[in-house]
Amino acid sequence: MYKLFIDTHDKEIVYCLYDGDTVLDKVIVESGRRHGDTAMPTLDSLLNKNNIKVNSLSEIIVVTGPGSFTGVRIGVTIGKMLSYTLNIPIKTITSLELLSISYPNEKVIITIRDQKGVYAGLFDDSKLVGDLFYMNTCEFEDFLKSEKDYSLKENNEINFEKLGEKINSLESINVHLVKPCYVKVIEALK
Amino acid sequence: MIREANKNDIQSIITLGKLLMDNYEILFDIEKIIDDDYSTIYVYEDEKILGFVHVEYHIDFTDMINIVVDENNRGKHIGSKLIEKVIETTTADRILLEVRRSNEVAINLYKKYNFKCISERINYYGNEDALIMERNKDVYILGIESSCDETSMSIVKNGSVEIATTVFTQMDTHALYGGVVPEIASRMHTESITLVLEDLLKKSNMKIEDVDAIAVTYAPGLLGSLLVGVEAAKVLSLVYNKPLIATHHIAGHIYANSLVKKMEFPLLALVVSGGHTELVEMKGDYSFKVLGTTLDDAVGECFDKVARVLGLPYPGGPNVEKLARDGKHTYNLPKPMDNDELNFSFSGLKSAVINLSHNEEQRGNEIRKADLAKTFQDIAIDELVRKTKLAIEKYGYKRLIVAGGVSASLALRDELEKLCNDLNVDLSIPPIKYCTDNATMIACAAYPQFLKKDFADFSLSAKSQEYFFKNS
Repeated sequence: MYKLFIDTHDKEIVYCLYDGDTVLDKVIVESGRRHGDTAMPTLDSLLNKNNIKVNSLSEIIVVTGPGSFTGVRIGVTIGKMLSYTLNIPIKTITSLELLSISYPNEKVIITIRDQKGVYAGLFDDSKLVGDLFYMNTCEFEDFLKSEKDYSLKENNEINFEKLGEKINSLESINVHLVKPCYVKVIEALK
Repeated sequence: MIREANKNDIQSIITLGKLLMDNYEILFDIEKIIDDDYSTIYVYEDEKILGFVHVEYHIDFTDMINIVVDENNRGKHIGSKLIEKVIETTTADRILLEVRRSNEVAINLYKKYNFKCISERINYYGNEDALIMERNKDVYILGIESSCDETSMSIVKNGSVEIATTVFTQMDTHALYGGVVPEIASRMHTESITLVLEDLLKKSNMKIEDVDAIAVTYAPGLLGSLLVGVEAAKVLSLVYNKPLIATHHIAGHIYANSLVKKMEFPLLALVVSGGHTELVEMKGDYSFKVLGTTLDDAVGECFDKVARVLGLPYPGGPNVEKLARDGKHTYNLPKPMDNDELNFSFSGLKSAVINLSHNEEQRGNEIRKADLAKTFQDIAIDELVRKTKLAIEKYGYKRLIVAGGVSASLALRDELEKLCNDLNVDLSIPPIKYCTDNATMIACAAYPQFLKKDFADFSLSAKSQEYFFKNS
């Protein structure tokens, strides 16, 4: 029985198969903004390569964002449908919390940048303090100047080994309630 | 009751067989048929043997060799029950049989069980022709539609019988913003996708294992919305190892007509929606020849714009129609394309409404909104009906089908009904609930694709735009 981690919030499509807490195999593919065409073929070939049938998956862990709205929806839709049809638990993790797991026992600001601004969260010992937020680049620079306790960590990569342990501490949730974490308020709703 | 024949039945079978042909027992070795592994005889027994069916099982089809019912016991549905037995017990994808061309009673019975004539053998029975009839296995397709603001899934049998449908509409949400907000639509699709599937399975009392294929709208529509349906369909295809079918939204609207009755070709299709205004000839499944199209705006788009000018809320088209009911045709608006071409043009009419409303406003005159709606609607619909009439008269079509969101317009339905009555043309318009977006029509349109094995793979892309009618 294998756990499947899905992350499509950024430019790459990321899948990781876990056997217990141990990484069995992973794949990171740049799709060139075509996550829709690439996400399922990538999963299919990862499973085939490892000779794993889709129905031997036992748990889904999906990144809910923030990041590319469309990208996140692709991963979340795939994760939800797998969880529902295979009748297996689904767990979620935000993209920022995912990147914070490299910094246990530290106070850090984790960021993901888009064209106009920054998604960010404060993490103390890999636990979120307050809410995730989005600021434009200027606001964020001002924010950094006033923030003394937390140190900025940028350009983080996923630590798949630590993630294996982290997954165990996550609670599974009702599949129908799984939804992306957008953070940013869209224009129409303002 | 129906059971497999045994050796004690041989004499009864031969007696019945002689009703078919005098030399029956010479042509058929009943004992061997009963014994061997690839053929069998089912007998219908009610105190004595009243009928039988002889079938041969081949790798890819089942051959119904003979079926006969005792002369004094016809009309008791014994033949039907024997056919049903064959259908039930067949594992192959199709059943074949031959029948005399003159045997109308039998042919009609076979047709009732979805046998279709696929070829004929001239003088096969001495001086009479044989018809070869084929019945494909029942095909259940699960359709998914998420191209705009409804998340919908449906299971349809054989492209024509709706088993169950779930539509989760976001219309109320988008009405708050005066129109569909693409980002909100995509979000709501993602949130509701598994719930819609759960509801469908509950309603249909089926399992996904029982369906034969997964079909999904891949184009055209809002990209972010389409993607949710497409990825969901791919997961179903992967998990249940079912073929994936990429279906065009407009094919869906056209094939919604097969829910009413079997589409017979050739036919003329009037396709009217927010993105389409076309007169199309169909000579067969997925065979299209565009006879006329709009040179500018689609008729549905025009209705929506006029709705906005009149200050009507989203969705525009139905609200224009509602308002027009209280109005009179009193304004003077130009008739579009007053010629004998089959193309349409609606931008002139639309601009005339905008200008008129603008000018009246500047002069401080009040616009009689209901009258303006009525005048506009009359002219737009008259144009659709007039061009449809021209096409029918020019090419002599006997059948007209109507497809697309605008076919929900009651005024259009009335006018087309009158036209078809006058011209003695068979008219098909889907019930209103199948005119708006739904997955039922997608599962219908996917059926001919299934039969042609027109399958997609996991790299299927959602496309916001893709012109459907490639002339063929």
